[in-house]
Amino acid sequence: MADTTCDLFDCGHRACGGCGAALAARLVTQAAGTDTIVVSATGCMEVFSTPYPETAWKVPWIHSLFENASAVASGIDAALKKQGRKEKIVIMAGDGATFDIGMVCISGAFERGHDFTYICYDNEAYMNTGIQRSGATPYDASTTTSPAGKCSFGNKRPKKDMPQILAAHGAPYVATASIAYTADLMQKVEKAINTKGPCYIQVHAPCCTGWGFEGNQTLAVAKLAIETGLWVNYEMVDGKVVKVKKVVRKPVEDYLKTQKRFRHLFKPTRQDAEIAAIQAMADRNAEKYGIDIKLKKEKE
Amino acid sequence: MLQMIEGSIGVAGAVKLCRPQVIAAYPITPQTHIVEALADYVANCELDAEYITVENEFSALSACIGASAAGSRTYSATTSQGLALMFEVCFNVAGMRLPIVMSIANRALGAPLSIWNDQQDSISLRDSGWLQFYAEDNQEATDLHYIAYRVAEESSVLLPAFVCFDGFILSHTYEPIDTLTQEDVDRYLPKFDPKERLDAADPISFGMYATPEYYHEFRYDMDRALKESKAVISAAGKEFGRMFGRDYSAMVEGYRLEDADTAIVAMGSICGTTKDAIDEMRDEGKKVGLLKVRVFRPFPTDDIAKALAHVKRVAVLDKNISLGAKGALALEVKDALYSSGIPVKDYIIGLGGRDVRKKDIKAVVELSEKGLGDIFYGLRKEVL
Amino acid sequence: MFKPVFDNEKCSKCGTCRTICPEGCISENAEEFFVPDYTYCKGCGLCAEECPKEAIGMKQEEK
Repeated sequence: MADTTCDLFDCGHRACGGCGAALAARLVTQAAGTDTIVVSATGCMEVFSTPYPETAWKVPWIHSLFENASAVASGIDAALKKQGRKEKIVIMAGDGATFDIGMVCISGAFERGHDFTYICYDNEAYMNTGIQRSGATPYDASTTTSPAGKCSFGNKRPKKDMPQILAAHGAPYVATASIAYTADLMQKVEKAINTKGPCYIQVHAPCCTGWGFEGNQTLAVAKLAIETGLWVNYEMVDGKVVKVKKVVRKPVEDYLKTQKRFRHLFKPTRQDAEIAAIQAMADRNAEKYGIDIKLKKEKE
Repeated sequence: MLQMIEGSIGVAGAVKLCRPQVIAAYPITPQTHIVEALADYVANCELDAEYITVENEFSALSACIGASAAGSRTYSATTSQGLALMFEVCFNVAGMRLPIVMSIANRALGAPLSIWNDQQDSISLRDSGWLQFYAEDNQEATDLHYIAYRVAEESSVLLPAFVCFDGFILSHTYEPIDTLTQEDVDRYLPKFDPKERLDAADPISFGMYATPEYYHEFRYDMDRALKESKAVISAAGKEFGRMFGRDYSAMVEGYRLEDADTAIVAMGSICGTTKDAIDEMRDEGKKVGLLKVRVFRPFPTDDIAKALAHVKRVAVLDKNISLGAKGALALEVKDALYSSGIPVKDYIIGLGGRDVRKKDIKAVVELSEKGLGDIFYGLRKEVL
Repeated sequence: MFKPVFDNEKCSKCGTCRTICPEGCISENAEEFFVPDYTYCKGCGLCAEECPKEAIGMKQEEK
């Protein structure tokens, strides 16, 4: 019988030191509580948490395949309904499982309106298999399948807008969050769990190994993503944005400079056009979500 | 009660009586009548189940995983392309020891696209760890569902099961079927109550990863459970016979085999045609018999060796082909008869729904008597 | 390998270190100060980096 008096995501897991996803797992399970069934997709979190015969999970947990967590959760939802049970279902999947290979299952599950909370821990690439690009990889990030090189600046496409896609499916509550703001993340998890229907929270979880920074900088990097407008923390209720985290914006460079995956934008030569393109993306985010704090002297 | 109903309806009715709590299925010809009938039962409160209209077969079986792991009896049905799409999930189900029962209305695999019957689909998953039952007629197709659940859910087994019946030939034909009552089935099939399941009261982890230090033993355990399920099948089949008068304790069944010189080995509806052909050949003085294989996985190696020990030659009818080699049934029958010295020949027949008639069975026997075999029977030269 | 060393003189008992440790190996003692479990600590240094009172220092582990 698992000891549930301490953390529901136990220490001893095999994540890299400073892992953003591991922190996300701790915070989500803490917010969700013991009456939770977790469904994991294949990926870093699943692998570092369950090397047979050990498991870090002190809540009931199931991993099936890479792409089908949403379908498995749909089945659990149906079973719990039939058995008259009250446990909450939380899916924990990386961006690979969510944005790409799991699209079909997610779309079906959200369309059918099952009752679960889908947490995507977004470390912006297929990290478990060695840092390959995903639909969540940001523009110009260097990954092993979108490497920067003599004739490439890295990933050619901007992030797929998963939150909007799922809001369009009629998800009653959709939010973005970050491990940089732990109380906010936990509040959002609680809200999602207590909202009936399929809810989605995309959690920014910087990866020191894949992005190229020291393990003790994980939260600093996460904060910079938000402060530069490249990641926006917001909430949507029934498809409408209701709350946004506002910032006094910093230039995107402050964020890009911290990570080896963007190093090619600065060395050997500074790539002004690329940096400007990324700045434009941040500016568009700021415009779209209204994240800029208007300083008093600007108003006058 | 004897009813003149479509095979699919017989199957749907049996599934209803098994009281699945969760059904997740995607329509595909020729299984559609089953899933439609079940949806109807649910919509009319005749079946108290959650019916998930999934977006494809992969998700259907995945949803069954979740429901079964959470402790509910689950059901799905598919065929051909749908089963192929479930390929990855099938291994996952068996590996997680979830006793899901799935009807397979056997159909050929594309390309080229075919909606007609052969057994390539389920045969192609013979490595997966699922039990495989093959029905000769609609009575068997119906009855085998009760037996499949009972065997699959047995704590020493805990493996999933396919109940296979030939698409269109069985699924869409009307035969008299003796249907059971809810009380009958409740007496035969106990409530599904797995010891291990997803439950906040007693948290466990399902589906972890296993390093080379552990994986080998997991696979051995599955193989052992599948082989030892033969005794469970026998007991469950015998009990069914005791309660309802139709004995399913044998995994293979002989027809006029006791004094046969030539034995035909086959699975599924082709056995019916074969029995009629045998009766005619017997009238002509030929000593031919049939060994029907009703359970393909676990493979009844010893039963087959014993049943065929006395014959002069064996002709295996395969409604499938392992391309580049031989038909799956023939390969495994040869293995069973290896030390006997009895010649076994393979006849690939009835692929993609090509009709198999009594005269075809007789022609196969003639070829067998001449020592000719290991062929695609009845190739149309004009097509080639 | 570096390990965190906690200076309770500077500690304000805010609990940030316990909240953000990716291992979850920092626990609260009877005096409400924080203690890492060195068996599970990976020396990532996030606690030292995030402590608002700079009460945690990373020291080289001795063999």
